Amino acid sequence: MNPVKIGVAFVASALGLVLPWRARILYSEWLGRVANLVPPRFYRVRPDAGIEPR
Amino acid sequence: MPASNPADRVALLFSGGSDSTLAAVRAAERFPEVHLLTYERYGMTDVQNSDTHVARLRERFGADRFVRPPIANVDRLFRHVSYEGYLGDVRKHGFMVLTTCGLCKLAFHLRTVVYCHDAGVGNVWDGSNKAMVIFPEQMIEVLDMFRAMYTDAGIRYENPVFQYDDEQGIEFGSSLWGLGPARAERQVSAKRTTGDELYELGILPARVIKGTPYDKRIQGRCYQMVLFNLWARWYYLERHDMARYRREVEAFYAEKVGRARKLVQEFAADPSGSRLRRLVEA
Repeated sequence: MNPVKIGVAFVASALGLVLPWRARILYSEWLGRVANLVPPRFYRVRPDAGIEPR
Repeated sequence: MPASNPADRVALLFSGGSDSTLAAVRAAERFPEVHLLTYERYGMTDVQNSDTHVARLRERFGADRFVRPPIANVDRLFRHVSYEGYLGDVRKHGFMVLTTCGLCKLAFHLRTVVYCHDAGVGNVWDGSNKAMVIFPEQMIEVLDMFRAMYTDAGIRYENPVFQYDDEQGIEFGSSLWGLGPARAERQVSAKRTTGDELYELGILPARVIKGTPYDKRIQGRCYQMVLFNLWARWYYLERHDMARYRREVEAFYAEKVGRARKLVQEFAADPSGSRLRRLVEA
C-alpha cells in the first residue's frame, strides 16, 4: 500500500466528485496531460490485487 | 441487401477500434443488415475517425450490407444517467460515481434501444471484451444487466468478441501514455486476439494496433477514463482487491441499470411520449 498514491488519488478524485459535468470532463483531460509527465510504472495496479480476466 | 424482418437486422455499437470492427465482421457473416452506430458527447473528439473501418467493411462485404446512420449526440442522456440521484449515489456508493466509462456506455445503450425501435432492429451487438476487467461496462455481471434491459425492449443483446484475448488486457488505460512495455508483455501471453483475426482478414495493417498512431486514426478519443483510472488504480485497488471491486461495481450498476430499465419499460409502453424519448430528442 502506497500512502502517497492513495493520498494524491483521494484528493484528485474528491475534486472530481464535486465538479459540474463539463468541468469534470475538462478536469479529467487536464489530469491526462499531467499524467503524461508520470512514468508508466506508477499506473500499474499492485500485483497482488488479484486482477484476472474472467 | 436490406432485410425486412427485425430479427435479420443487428445494431452494432461501433467505435471503429479492433474489437467492434471484428464484431462487425461477425455480424456481417450472420445478419443480412448491419447498422453501425457511433455516438458522441461533450469530451469526445474525432469520433468521425470510425468511418475508416466502415469503408473497409463495405469494401469487403458490400456497401449495401451496412447501414451507417449519422453520429448521434448523447449529451443529455449521459448527464441524466450520470447525475440522476447523484447525492444519494455518492452517499451510498462513494467514488463509484466516477466510473464514467460505464455510465457513458449505459447512455449509449439507452440511445440504442430507441434507435432499434425506430429502425425496426431486433438485435444489438458490441465489442465488449473480457480482458478489459477494470471497466464496468465490460464486466460480465454488468453486461448481463444490459442484456436484461434490452430484453425489456424485446431486443436480443450479444457480445460476440467477449472471449478473445487482448494484447493489452488490464494495462489498457493504465499505460495509455507508455504502452510499449505493457503491450510487449501482453503480446506474449495473448493467444488469439481480435487484431489477429482482422489482420488475417486483410482489414488491419498489423496484428497489434491498440495504442498505436493507426489506432488513433480509426476511432474517437476520450479522456474521461483518466479520472476514473486514477481513482480505481491509485486509490481503490491500492486499498482493496479486485473481488471487492467487482462486488461494489455490481452493486452500483444494479441500481443504475435498474433506473435505466424503468426508462426502457416506460418507452416500450409509450415510445413517443416517454421520458427516454424526450432525453433522446432534446
